[in-house]
Amino acid sequence: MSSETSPEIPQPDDLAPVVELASRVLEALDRVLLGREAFHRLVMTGILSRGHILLEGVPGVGKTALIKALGQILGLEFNRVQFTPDLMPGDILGSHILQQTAEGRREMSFQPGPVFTQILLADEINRASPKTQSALLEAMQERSVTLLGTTRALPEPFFVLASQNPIELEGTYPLPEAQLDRFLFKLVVDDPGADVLEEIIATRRRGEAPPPAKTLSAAELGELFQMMDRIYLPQAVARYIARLVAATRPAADEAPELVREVVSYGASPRAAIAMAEAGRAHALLAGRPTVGFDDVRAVALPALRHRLILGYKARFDGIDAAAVVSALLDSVDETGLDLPAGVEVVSGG
Amino acid sequence: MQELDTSVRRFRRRVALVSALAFWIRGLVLMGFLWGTAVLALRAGTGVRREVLLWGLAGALPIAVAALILGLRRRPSEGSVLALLDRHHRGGGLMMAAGELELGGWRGLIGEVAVPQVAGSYRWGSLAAAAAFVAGAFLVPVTPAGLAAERPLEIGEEIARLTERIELLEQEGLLGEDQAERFDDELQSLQDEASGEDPAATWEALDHLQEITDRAAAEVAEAALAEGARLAAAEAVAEALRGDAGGAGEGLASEAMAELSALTARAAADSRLLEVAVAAELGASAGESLDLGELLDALRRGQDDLGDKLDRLYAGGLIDLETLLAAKKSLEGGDLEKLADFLDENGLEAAGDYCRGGRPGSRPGRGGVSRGRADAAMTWKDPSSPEGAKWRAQVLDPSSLAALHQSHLLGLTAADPSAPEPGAPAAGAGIDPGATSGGGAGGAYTHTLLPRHRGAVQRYFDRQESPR
Repeated sequence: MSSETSPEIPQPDDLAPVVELASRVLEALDRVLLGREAFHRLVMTGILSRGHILLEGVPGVGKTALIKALGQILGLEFNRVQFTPDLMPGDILGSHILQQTAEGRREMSFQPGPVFTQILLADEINRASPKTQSALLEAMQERSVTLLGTTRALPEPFFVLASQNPIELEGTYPLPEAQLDRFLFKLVVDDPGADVLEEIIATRRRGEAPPPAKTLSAAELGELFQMMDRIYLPQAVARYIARLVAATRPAADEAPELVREVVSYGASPRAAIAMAEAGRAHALLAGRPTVGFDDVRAVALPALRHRLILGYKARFDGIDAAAVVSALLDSVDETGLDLPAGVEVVSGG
Repeated sequence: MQELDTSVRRFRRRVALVSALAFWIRGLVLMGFLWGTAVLALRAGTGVRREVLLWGLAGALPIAVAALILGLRRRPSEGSVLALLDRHHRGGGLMMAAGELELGGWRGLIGEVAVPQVAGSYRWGSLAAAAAFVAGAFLVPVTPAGLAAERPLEIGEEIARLTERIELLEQEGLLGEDQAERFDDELQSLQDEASGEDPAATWEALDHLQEITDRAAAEVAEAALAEGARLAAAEAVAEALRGDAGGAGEGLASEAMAELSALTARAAADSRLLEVAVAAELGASAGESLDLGELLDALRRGQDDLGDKLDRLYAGGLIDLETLLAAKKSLEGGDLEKLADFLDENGLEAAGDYCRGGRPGSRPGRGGVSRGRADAAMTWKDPSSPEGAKWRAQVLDPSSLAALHQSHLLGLTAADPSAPEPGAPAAGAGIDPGATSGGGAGGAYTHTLLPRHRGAVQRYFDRQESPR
């Protein structure tokens, strides 16, 4: 799929069917997992952006169920790996084993690991050792695996949906910033409300969701990705994204006071790329051919949450990344309208 | 609602106008303060008329042009305006994309776009302050420095006062005619040329003239003191000579006459202080035929003349009251002893001794309120004869003898210094049996002084010795 945007925006007739496909996926997800429409939208945004997603939530909120359902709905191969402290890189990537051929020769043959799939659920990724965690780095970035000098491409599309438990941090290994930066989004999976719980209990035995029907074919999924390439990012929006990411650095001119106080290191350029792609996906799901400021504001928190390195002051004052991103969005003006001093826009007409 | 392109143009134009107005008001504020300062400076420095300075208002026009140009330059770009419109109308990026590519079928979704209102925060308060400053600069009364320079300095009173002093000095013969005329000319030129441009120079010139007249008056006062003393001394000597019929001896009297003549001539020599006629009369009286009566008259007329002159100088403010009183006191003479000392200091010892009656301290005073003490030194003439006096010897009682031994000298009083004749009986007489008579015709009275009276007696003699 081409990464360059089409010089022409998709016309309404072209966009409508694709939006319908995406809506079907969302509806199927909403039927499987109750009460998380907005969350499903963000997950779908990440998928359409071809990005990896880090899910954070306490056990039992449906992270694994979501990813399994997603794989089924999208018709993608799905593998699940439970990360444990004794997990080795070869357990994920694969290894060479000595085999005897029919002719009686013995040769080393490669046995692909669970990473060779289209959706890899890395459950409790923070439990594995850093060595094992870093084994996913190349796979996530390059979408290929190199072992013993041989590079093997991973299937297309390839997504890593990792989960981690915010509690029970004893014996865990926090993901390094380099690997965190490779996740497009970090989504927090909240506990379902009482109403949702009531519905779950009332309608599902043992909380098991009904198996989702396959919704998209490979071709249809391809259409979605192709349409993503045609969603237009206006120059002003691109400028806004760049200013937002630049403002995450404490030394930036537009950095708000909170960023200067609590942020040690700001987001990398990868964050801007992630926000641009996620903005396109958000616009597509909204049925628009162009990315607007609202799309950027919608994806800013998931894209920046895990990319801001906060200092000790944030920990002492109880300031999290969400508060920092909120301050950022409030302080950076979207339009960048440089009006002379004393002149202001008072109404939209 | 309008087309997007039209809306963008209208918004940019609206921003340009609002910005231009804001810049213009700021420019007017700056211009107002500068203009007001220039108005004040020009009105005070050169006296330029207000009507001329009103032309400064024309500066508002180029400021308006500059503000308009600045406003047009500071217009936002079309892309940023589209972004603003897209955000306000929640266009989802369509309006922004409209400025970059063809929207095709999406164009119809945009429709008419309302132009946002633009407001400017204008510094009306600063403009009002600047306008008030300009108005104040025009309305406040300012006296131009040049006008002040043209206005003459008011020194008429000073000129008149100095003119009077110079005239008085000239009338009294203390200033020459040429000198007085020169001073008058100088005063007149000062009055004509004095202006507010350089008041310091004018006042300096006036102070210089004042100083000259004051110096002349001081010289007059000093001379008057000496002249008065001379006249008083001459009068005293003349009176003494006329009143004494050879009692002080022919030699001393003739010397005193000669010195009196010289003193009178010296007094007559200073014509500045005496009228010409009076001085001439004194000079004639001091000639070879010295007539004491005429001399006394001339001296008294001289004294009166000098006193009148001093009164006129005091009335004209040339001398102060203290100087006047001191000069008048010197005219009166007063203390005979001081007069005699004055004569001695001026080389007229014979006259001084004559004043003292032949021996120091023997000349009686003249008495009177303005003529000093009337007491005269005690004189000893015709010592009394012991013939017919009866003396009775008295032995002192032991207590008196003891008191005599315990006594000590407290003081001396005037008495005949001649010692008693040896062998002369010491006779006591009088009421007080303890009184003893010392030797001598005058009789020193001695009395046993009780210890408790010693302090009083000591104070008496201390008072006697202290000058009055």
